[in-house]
Amino acid sequence: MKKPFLYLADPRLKLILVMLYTAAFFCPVSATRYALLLVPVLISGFITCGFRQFLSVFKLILPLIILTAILTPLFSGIHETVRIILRFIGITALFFLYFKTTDSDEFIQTLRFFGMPYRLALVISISTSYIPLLLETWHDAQAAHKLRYTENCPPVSRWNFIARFCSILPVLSSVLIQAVKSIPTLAMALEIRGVGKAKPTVFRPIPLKKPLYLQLLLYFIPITVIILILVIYAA
Amino acid sequence: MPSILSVKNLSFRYPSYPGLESKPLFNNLSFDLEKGSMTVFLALPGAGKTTLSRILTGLVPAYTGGELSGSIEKNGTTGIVFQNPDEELFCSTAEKEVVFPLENAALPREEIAFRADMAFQKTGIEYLRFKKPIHLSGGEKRRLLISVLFATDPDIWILDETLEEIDILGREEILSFLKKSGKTILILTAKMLDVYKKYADNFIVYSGDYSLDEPLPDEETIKALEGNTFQNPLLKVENIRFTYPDSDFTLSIDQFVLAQGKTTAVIGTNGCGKSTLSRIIAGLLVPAAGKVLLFGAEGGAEKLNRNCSYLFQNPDYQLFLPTARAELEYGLKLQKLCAAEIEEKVHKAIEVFGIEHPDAPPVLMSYGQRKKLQAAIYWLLEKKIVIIDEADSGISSKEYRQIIDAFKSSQANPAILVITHDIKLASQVADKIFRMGAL
Repeated sequence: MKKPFLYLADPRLKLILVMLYTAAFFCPVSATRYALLLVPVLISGFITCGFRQFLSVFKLILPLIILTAILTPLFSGIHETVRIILRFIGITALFFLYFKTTDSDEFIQTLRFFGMPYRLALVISISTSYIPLLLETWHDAQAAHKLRYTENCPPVSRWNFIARFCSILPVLSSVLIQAVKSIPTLAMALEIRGVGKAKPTVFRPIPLKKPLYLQLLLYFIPITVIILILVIYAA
Repeated sequence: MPSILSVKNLSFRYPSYPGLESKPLFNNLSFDLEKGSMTVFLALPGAGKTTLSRILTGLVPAYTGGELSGSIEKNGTTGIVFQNPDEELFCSTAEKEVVFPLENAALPREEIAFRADMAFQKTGIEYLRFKKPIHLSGGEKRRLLISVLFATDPDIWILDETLEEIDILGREEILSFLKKSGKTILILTAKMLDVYKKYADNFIVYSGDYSLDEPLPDEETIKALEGNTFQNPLLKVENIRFTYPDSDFTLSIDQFVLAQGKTTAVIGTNGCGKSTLSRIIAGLLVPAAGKVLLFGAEGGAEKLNRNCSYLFQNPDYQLFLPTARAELEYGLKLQKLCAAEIEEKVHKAIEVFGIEHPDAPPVLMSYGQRKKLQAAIYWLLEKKIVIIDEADSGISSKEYRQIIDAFKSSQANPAILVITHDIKLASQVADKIFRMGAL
């Protein structure tokens, strides 16, 4: 199956756009302009991941959005609240899409391309590649904990949010224990793989599936111009 | 033959923690490995095999602390495969796992490509090259880690309970390659696999009784057990189809049944879908098509969850409380049992499963002890179906059989599903053997 465009885009250009976009979400412009900035991000997200999977990302940050929607108007007004929520959604979507469509090996090479020292780039890359691993651990721990209930246990109502929240705590504890336990073993694994002993070779340099200038023309320059018009020119 | 590794008077002790006084390990252990030999180090679970493997690779006590005495002389480099593969895999693709140490050694690209191709070919997992390691089965992960050793080519290979979860043909292939490679191999294990007798040059029995040489069951015995028909099935799987997202693997099973009080062993090659089938039965995965009938009716995922015990390959997913005793009590508390009843049941479980330190944090217990704890947790829940998914690494065959027997003789009289690569075990414990994939 053919992969959506974001998978094929150059990871260096994507990273520049993510940074540019993030900066734009902090510029002092109206909520309408934030919403306009958000539109291409959301469209790219739906094309890349499909409607349901992309929406599930926002389910994770929904509690924070609700809290912001309740508390912020009391201190900063409705307009500022909308701006904060749009900014939050925008940045979450941007980074989700970047890491969803960029291999950790490409990411590490991108960081090194921009001059980051190898070890620091490796640490950042491993940290980010651990997120899917933690998610996987979360799913496994959740499955294991589900099986600790029997037919004799009282059923938990779908609407009993306190009980549902409490049932998350054992899963969270198991995942945290797993994550903390993995620190020394990961360090051991890195040592036996010879990290830091010599300047490493790059086996597969960042693949340029389309010429860089074409990518610049196709999306990088147009998106940059749109951001500049929406944010800097308007300001 | 000259010695490539010489261990003299080795003793070690981990730092002690509250509730878990560390015990001295090895007690002046001495042995030598001849260059090019294959040695199997047999010891009971908890005897310190993982610790020994990490001492020999210089990781312990550097990362753990503890007191080490004695001497180790090495005339070559060492490579290791950890007991739990999940602790060692962190790259985005299987290929990246293999080339990562080669990149770190600053080898030229052509050399890396050559070694990676050779490694994948020798372990027979070329088809997994661009897969994510987290999506591989337990056996496939171990093959991948052996590929890393083939690629890095150390002089001494240390395999910590690596072959247990690899299918029978895979074990033969890998050991045959290792034997031909002329490398020095040290296999640390709690289980005497038949394949070791064929390839190993030396055996070191550190603890346990491995003198009983049970013969492999003959073909007729296995054939008589093969099949999957029971009167009055408790659980029936009909025409199920399941595909993981981003995967080309499809599980397709027309019929599979489990019956109360009967044990079914499922055997098959790595990655053929044994764990996937088990997860569907336990209600942890929902098939795209087909039905799972429990007591003759479809009850949905929650009903299956509540009636199934599942001993995962990794016991740590469900451990979260500060002591082993609290873990055992937790499931009973969810059932709102009274304190006296809980205490009595937990006491019995500790006795049946031989939990050595019930008041110690599970996180500090040995891998084998954590597996026993996981089994004891489910034994207490008395569910109708018990799934034991390749849970035999880290525990001896005898202990594994004891676990299965404990479930067989439990009050719930459950239907038991054992996933294993051990045909001997399957023929001994199972009423029926169900084959998946090609063997």
